[in-house]
Amino acid sequence: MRYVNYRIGVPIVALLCLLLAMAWETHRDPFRRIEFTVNTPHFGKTKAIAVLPKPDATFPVLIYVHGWSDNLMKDGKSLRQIAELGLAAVGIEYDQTNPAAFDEQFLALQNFVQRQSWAQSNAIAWLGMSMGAQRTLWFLLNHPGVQPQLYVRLSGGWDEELGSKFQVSSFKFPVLLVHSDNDTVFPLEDTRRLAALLETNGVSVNLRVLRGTGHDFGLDRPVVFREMAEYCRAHLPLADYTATLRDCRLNDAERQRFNLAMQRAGQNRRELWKAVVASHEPERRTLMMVIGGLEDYDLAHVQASYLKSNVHLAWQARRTYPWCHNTPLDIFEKYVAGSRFFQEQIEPWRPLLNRLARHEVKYCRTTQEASDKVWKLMNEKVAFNLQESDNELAPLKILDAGRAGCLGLCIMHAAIARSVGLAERVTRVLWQNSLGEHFCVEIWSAEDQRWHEIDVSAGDRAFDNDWVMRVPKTAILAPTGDRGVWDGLGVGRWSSFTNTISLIYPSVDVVIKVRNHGIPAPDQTVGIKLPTVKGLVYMALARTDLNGEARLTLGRSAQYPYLFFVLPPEEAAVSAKYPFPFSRHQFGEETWRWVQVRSDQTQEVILNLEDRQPFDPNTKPPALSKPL
Amino acid sequence: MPKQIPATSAGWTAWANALEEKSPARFRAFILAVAVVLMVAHYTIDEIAYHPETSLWQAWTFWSGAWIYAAWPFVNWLAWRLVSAGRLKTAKPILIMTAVLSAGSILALCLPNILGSIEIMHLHRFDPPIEKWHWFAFRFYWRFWTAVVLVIGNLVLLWRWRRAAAESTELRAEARVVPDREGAIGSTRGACAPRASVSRSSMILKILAVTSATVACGVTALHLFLPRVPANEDVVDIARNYLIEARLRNDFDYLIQHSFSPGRPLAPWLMHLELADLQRHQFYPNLDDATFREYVLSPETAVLPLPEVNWRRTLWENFCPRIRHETDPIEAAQIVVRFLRERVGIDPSYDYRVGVETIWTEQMTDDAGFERIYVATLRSVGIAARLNDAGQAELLEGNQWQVAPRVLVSSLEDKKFPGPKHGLVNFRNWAGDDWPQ
Repeated sequence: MRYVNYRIGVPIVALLCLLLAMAWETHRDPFRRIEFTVNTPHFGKTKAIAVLPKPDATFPVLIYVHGWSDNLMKDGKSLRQIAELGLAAVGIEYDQTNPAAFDEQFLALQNFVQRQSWAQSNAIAWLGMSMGAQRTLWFLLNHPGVQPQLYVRLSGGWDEELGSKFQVSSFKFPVLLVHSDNDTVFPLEDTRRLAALLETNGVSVNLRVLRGTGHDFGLDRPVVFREMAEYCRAHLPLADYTATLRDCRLNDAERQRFNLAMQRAGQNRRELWKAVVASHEPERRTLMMVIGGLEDYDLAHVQASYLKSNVHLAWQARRTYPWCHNTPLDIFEKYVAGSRFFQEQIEPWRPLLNRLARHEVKYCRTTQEASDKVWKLMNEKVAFNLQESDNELAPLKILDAGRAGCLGLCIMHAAIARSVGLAERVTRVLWQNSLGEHFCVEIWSAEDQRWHEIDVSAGDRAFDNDWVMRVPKTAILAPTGDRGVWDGLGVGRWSSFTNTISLIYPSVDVVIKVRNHGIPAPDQTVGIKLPTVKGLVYMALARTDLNGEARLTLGRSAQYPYLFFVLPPEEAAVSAKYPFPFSRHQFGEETWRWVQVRSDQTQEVILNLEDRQPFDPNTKPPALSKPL
Repeated sequence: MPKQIPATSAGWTAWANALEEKSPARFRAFILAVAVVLMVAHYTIDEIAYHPETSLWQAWTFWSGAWIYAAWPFVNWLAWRLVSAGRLKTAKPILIMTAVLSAGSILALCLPNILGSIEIMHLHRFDPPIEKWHWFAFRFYWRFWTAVVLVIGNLVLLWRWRRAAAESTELRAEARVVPDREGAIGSTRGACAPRASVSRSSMILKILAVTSATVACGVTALHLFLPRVPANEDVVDIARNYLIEARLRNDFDYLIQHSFSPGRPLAPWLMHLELADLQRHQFYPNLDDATFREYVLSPETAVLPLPEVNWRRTLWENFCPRIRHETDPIEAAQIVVRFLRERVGIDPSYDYRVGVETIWTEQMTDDAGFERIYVATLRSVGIAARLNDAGQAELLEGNQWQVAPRVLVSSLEDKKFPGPKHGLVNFRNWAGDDWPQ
């Protein structure tokens, strides 16, 4: 060890360790801080800081102007709270004694921010606290040409000159005023007067009075800042993560969808972004579309490696199999690359099922051949068992169990199919002749370029069997491929499903017109029920538009007519959030009508609110007017 | 070919040896070519058996897979050539492997009906549950045939190579042999130093040390790995007996009984047990076990589509330092809810029924979700909490359940659930397509 010089070696090693620790910490830090100075023509330079969330994007900006006795160092926590919500938070060390100096400094800051690549120049909000609120208001009045997209004042005051000297009618942005009723510095009355003045001049104002706190909100200050930041985020555009990508192939709507998913991902945002930057086109586009449709649970839990491997395997299938190659890209992205069906656990089923199935479909040339092979494989691995409760919906769990109910079998089939590039989704079918629902699957036929319904839980019904098409049905609900199917069946979030009945069963567009003494009644909720062997069963729900009309597609009546009725307002309010509870509707005196749905032309159903009559759910429904 | 066809295997061997001596390179090439043919035959027969309805010769996929099988004998031979520096003769063993593979494939092709009958017979005889049926299926084992033959063949080659290497080492050692103390030639003992005598006490100490180290490693491994493996009943039993203190076993049983499902790692449940016990007496010196288990220890705050239970450590780390000096549940809850609202926002569009982990990661939720995470947070710091019938968080103060403290204002905006838009109809036609005639 005589060759080791400890006097030099130990400090070098220590320094290296320190540098490594700093690099590691910087990497882990969820924020990027940019310290800068802005120059003013007459008052020299002033310091400012921008706190940006990671990963990089173009962010909406919130410029925070602190109050008296605060400074840039103390602003750190507030700026971090703002940045946590995906906004760029900017703070400034302004001259607290000279309003003219503030004007120049703030203008210089505004100009600086407008030029930055991380800032959305058309999405800038100002937040003034106490004296900062006063200064920013005066700035607005002195510089009417420089305006934010949103203006927030916390504990601001009033100035007599405001009412007389200045015109606030030029304000083209909404204003949020937050004040405490125990404020001893600026009384609440000041803010009320300002709100009244702004409202008089046609400015959109939201005044919130907080009870029982002081001028600086005391212990509740962090909570108020958090709520204020949430308010700003809700009123400003989304951060655009795609702006930092070269050659991004998403259109505007797709970008919006992706950015919204990134915003919802919260602390897992960086993990999702890791997958995006590690992939290349065309897989990157698919990955971003998959992220855009992820459920909240996935957004919070999914790993970059899982996402990447899923999309990579899906693209491998697209390159290998002709049926997948000819599937439209949007369908491929939703129903092949997407890996969620309902609310099953995240598990890496794709590689395993691909290994199982690829040998089966090796020599298949068409969708039908591949689908039948998948169906055969599924029947070898999993048996249909009505007693299974479908609690475990994850494909590998079903495979382990070796048996499943109809929903489990459909999920299993769809998972195997997706692993070999078949676009497939699980559908909920409402039968007309029994109480229960049933689950089937829809496969995208690359040859016909349309969805093809299969009842996979029956042992003798392969691709070309038309059994599923012959049975009378009311509606077929297929997932749209967007966020919402997570617990959509459980809570009746029907907006996440689309009705595909017209593809396989005679059906018709029904126009429901609700009238109140001949005048169209908007915002009415119409329920549709159907008599079955076990009584009346909830089938559908529709809400009237401004013309008092609602439209929906229903399968033609096969045995009994449908019952149309208008929901009472209190039930309609509940069903606005979760339509499912309305299935427990207790009939009394109300507007209702039996309607036989035919399949020849668009059908019109008129419900007059004044025609209220008692309904007995036990009465036998009328017979159909002619056999169908 | 020989002029006279040999009648015995010895005759064939002699003919092959003569051919090899005459031109070793040509002989090797011939052997490998035969191996390639046999390997492709094996692949083809397998494919015919598996896809009898397909015209293989016309399928591009068939040919794209065939070259891998065709290349295998050469690649295997080349690998051994490089590993053994050309000293190991591998062509003939490789030929044997491919021959065995082909023979197996032919058998499998010819006997499917017999094998099928045997399967059915055994299924009837043993009547296994459906998830075990594949154990009786010939195809289940047949997929390992190629891998088994290739692995066994290469293990034989490995054994031969090691034997050859050992022989050459012995030869070299014999060449370097030195006379021992008695001057005997051929003994290698003289090269070794005389062994030091080992006392009994040091031997005992060594045994003790090795035993202790082994036990320590075992116990460490138990603590490290057992909570992380997917747990079945046996794992739960081992964990209960070796990882859990005796006084906590009833709590552990409660957790396993009420919220654990097999196949998941035990780590989150052990964490609940440990951290809940740490907070056991901070707010309630005499809380009865049943209440503690149901409202402090239990990781489930509501019935959800997917249970999310791995939240206690995160919440405990974030909230416990803030209330460590508090003993009154109400005052602690005020601190808790204030900080919770700082971290988690409320927005009605986050109305998916997700658990505490998702809410904490997303930092946003709806009113119902906020109440769920509020209950979890209170439990994480040791306050007994639950959701009441209205879905609000309530806590145990004294012997009374009361609604937990709220924040100053839950939101600066009057947000309401957007609901379906006008004209948005749930069962609207997908594409307006007509019924296909």
